[in-house]
Amino acid sequence: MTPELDDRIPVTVLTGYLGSGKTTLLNHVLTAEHGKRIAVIENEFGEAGIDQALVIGAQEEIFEMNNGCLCCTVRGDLIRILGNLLRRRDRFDHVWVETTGVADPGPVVQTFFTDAEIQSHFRLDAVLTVVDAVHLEQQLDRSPEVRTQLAFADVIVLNKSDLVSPEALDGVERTVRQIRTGAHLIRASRGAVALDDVLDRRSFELDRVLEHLEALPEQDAHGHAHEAEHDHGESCAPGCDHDHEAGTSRHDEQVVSVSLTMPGQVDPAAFNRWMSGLLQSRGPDLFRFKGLLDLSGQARRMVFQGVHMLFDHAPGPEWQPGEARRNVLVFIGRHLDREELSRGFEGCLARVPQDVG
Amino acid sequence: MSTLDIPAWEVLHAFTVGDHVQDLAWHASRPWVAIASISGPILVVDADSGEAVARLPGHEGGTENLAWQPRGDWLASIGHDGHVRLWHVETGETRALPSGDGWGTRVAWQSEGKFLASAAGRHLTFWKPDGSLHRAVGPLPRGIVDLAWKPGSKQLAVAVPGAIALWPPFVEEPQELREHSGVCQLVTWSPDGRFLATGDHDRTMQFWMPGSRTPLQMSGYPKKVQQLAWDVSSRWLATGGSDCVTVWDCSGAGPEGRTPRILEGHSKPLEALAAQHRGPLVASGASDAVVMVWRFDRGLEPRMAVALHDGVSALAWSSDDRYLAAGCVDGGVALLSGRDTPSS
Repeated sequence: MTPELDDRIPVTVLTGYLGSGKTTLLNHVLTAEHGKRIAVIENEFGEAGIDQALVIGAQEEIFEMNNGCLCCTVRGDLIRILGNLLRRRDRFDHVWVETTGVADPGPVVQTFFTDAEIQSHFRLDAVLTVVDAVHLEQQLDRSPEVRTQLAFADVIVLNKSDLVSPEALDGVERTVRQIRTGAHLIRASRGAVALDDVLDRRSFELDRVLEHLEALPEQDAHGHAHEAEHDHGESCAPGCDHDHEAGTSRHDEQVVSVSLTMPGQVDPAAFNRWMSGLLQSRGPDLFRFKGLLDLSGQARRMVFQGVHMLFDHAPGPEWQPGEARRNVLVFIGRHLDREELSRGFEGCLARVPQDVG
Repeated sequence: MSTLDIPAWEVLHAFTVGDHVQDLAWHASRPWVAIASISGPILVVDADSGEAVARLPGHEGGTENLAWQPRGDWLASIGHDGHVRLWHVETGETRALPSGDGWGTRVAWQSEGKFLASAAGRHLTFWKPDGSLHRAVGPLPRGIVDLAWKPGSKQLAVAVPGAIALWPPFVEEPQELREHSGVCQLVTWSPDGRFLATGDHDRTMQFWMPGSRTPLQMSGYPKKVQQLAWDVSSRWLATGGSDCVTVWDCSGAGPEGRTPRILEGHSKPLEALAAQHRGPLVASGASDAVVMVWRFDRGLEPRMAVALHDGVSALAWSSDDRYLAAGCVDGGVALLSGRDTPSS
């Protein structure tokens, strides 16, 4: 379905720790969108004070799809509520799904890609995560859910940025970017964001994925993207080369982004095998992933993205003569080993490059 | 197949309730049909005259389900205002009973009218016929998806994701718990109480046979099975989950290993199935705006058909099969005569 013809109802998933300012941000957006018909589905213990939309309290009901896969879960309560909204006479312009402070966004996101009725009437536009810039570092220490919510985000709002020094704010931003490379990151105070930053993001559309991937900077030999300046002090990622204390398994639990960029044509069959194996063995640990490939024998790029074990791909624009071709892959998840992923992908490169056109 | 070949069914009365018809329910002995629109209001119409008998406000935020008392004149309803409501059409009296959760979904009377059960979120409540509380159970560990009283019994089947509990009103814990993989969307008993049939989220339906701990699963449906209708003899089960009506023969040892009869005619997915209470017919309604009626026991062709103005959302036969009510997604309601249907 081309973007212009897609008239499905857009949905934004709003997540963030308690106190991050989700409600303030939401009210700000609702005021700016005055006149539109908006529904907000919040958890049953939702914060009061949203009055410019239809507010529905939902009790989270997560169930596994019957395919034997532990990470293939959906929100049954959302399926029921969205089905009801669909049948009402006046069409909604936008739906917000607000999750609790400790929610895993995975089931919510997967609901929009696995239920046929939902998928045909609703379009997941973006996952928006609100961060309390003042308390993020402490929250990261205390709750793994904070990292998970950042990992799933398309847009990250560093809220309360006015209450933090510029240096500290830069530090928070660095921390966030190490967890979630490539998210659209904005600084705000009191939830005041520009509508363009949070609405109509189309984050799950493959041509938008392609734009983001092509904009990622080249990697240096060290393996970390330039955009995340680091000092190898407190924060690090798997594959980094400084010494660790013995037994720092806490390291592995952390959610990180791994970006790989390399030239070389990819053997489609080898890539399929590697990717299938990765999804099957590491599905629950892979929160989001996306990539752009130079496929051997193909004049067009291949673009893909996914959540856990859900994988979506399509051909992209043709490579132009003289254009530098490269493969870009981003994985966001737990227990990710940069070396292992890099070697695995290198194994998919075709032995003999093929010229096309 | 051309709909021109099928005898046309005339609409006796047509009107609108303004918004998606969420549920239809007939009084047990009078020719009254209650119609709930998704936005809340409930209209009660006398099918003999086509005139409105009552306009009830229903539930603010939306009405989900209706059920008339099996013997008596109270209409029970549940919806999004946190209450079960009882309505007495003639006196205008009404009662509000707290359902336990804002988003209530099901009400069901025990077959002799001795109890009313309600489901709202994780709250299951048993009420006496006068609306007084008998027992409130909950919150359960999971949200209740459907309720169905076993015919002629006081066992209530309560479906939650992953399990079906058999629960009489007298106990704090369910008497029996049948666990299964998958998530059922609806549960229904055969009229003789021998079988439980469920329609599931994963595009299958399941039969629970007497004495068996594991269900018999029927797969291959293109969509979720959200329509189930038993014929009065308990031999046949009509199922949705596609454009076709799929009919299973449950006689003898049951449907295992048998090929179902596939009734083709609709051009879009089924949205409603309703079996006659006494007669041999089942009515189907689909997003193609067509209502068709078929014999449960034989034949592959519809016996009658009628095209309405918009997709069908609900169907119900009156208790004596004299009328079929059809509700549509745009709020249209058509009352059709059961007498027009062929008997062979």
